[in-house]
Amino acid sequence: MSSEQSLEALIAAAVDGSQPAFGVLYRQLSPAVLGYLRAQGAREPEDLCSEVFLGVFRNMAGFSGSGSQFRSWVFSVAHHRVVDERRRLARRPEQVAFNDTSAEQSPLLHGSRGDAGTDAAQRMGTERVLEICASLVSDQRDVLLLRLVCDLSVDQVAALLGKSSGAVKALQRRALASVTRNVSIEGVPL
Amino acid sequence: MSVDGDCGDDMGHDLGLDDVVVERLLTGDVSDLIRSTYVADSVPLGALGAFVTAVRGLSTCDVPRPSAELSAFLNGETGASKLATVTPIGPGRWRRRVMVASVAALVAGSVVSAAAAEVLPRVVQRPVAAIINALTPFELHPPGHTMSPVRETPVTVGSTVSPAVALPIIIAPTSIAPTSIAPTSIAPTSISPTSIAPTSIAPTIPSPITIPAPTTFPAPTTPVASTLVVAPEVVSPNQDKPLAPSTSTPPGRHSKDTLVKPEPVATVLSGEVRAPKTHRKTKASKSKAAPTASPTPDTTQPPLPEPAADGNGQGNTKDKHPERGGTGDQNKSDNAKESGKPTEPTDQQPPVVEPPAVDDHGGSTKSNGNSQQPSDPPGKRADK
Repeated sequence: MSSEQSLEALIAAAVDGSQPAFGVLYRQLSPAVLGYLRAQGAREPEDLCSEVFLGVFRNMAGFSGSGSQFRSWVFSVAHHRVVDERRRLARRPEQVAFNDTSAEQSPLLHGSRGDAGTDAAQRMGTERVLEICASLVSDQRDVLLLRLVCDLSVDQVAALLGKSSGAVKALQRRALASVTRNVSIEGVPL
Repeated sequence: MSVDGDCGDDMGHDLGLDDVVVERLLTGDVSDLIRSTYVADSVPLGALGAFVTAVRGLSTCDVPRPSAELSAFLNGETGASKLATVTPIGPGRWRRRVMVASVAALVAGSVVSAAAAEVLPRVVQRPVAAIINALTPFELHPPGHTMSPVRETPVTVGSTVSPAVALPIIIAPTSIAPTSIAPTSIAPTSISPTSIAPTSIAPTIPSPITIPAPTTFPAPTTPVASTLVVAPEVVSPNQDKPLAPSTSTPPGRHSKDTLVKPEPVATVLSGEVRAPKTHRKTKASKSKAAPTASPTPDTTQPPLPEPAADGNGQGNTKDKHPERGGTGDQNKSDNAKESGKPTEPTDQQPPVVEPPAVDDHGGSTKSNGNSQQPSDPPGKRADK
């Protein structure tokens, strides 16, 4: 059984109300959702991830489709949550106290093996990647992250963002060109 | 950026990245792409491949810790149907609220307009009118209410009304006996609301009317009791019928300046003195006879100048003043001509009344627009 078929089976079980299926779906998709939220610069990515899955599971009974469609739906919910947070912050900017231990508490470092050099390089690399993503235009960042992190196709991204496939291809090409210029200028300690 | 992906400055700077290379970067193995030969040398594929790999690594982190509500759901403590459905107020809900408010305002405006036009049912018209009367400066009438014509004409005491208003209501002095004045003789309908234009009210006419040497004045009355001036010094002996106030204003609706007291009031209408000796009512007043019906006709006196036309503040105060060469008869005839009414016969002239000692103020008071209410009680003035 492929991963797609197993995902569809899980979805069918969740639609029927099987409680363990929800947990499995959460464990399979929550890392990608969390990574997408973090790359989008969400303030509280874990809380936002929980809200995304709460919204998904709340409306799970009305879902019908394949595994890829379920992934597209989950990430579209996550994307809309990010957009809502951006609008809310644009209206009422929040003042966040400086917390120098936030990098050490990052979920990305949970898998550290204790090697100081490796952890430092990984932390610097992740921060640099997030900086490059933040420097992109909003639409370019959305397309690039949906393609890379969420592993969606061009058509799925186009349907999610309400654009044409050609527009999505142009956006991802210009996004990579912008990343290439940033990388060639400053370099990426990956 | 447009919908088609045009981002302005980034146009034309793709660094040789065509769609095939981009697709292989985003989906395929970066190492295979680096080994390929069709990628331009300007593209730092190594760094770009490292970036793509790092971004993909963002989705391979550990499972985040769920929130309390989600963990309760995942543990089976709460069912999917019991999840809180708290949705923030979005633009759609605000739009719905605005629409509801607009519809409510439209309905309220329609109800008010219909109430103003009195097209609502009687059951609805009354509370709506009460609400509007209580909450707004406008006044709506309950169903069945008939508006008095005088109510809309602000004829008050002391106000000078142009001849266009006064002429139709002037009664020739020779046609009315002093005792024949009854409240009913003052027909409210004699004042046509349509004939009183708002611009016809000229409260500040500079020329005061001074009635010359007192002669015997007839009993001209005007339905508008706005120019009643008390001259307590002069008492008419044969005037036992008090002049009733004008009833043109409906009860409870008269203004403060309108003389509406029902008790007898000693009045002087432009030189004519009326002092109520007694409160006995005459037949004319009881029977509400016509103004021309004079129970005590006294034809011994010739027709007198008509002070009512001038002195009561409603006459033509410009060119019919006695001091300006015009006589009372001329005034009367002129007024009659202007009003289109024939002159009343002279055999119904009022009785001779002793001329008042000083009655100049009556005319002047009435014409200069000042409101002079009797300051003393009528009986007291009659005693004097």
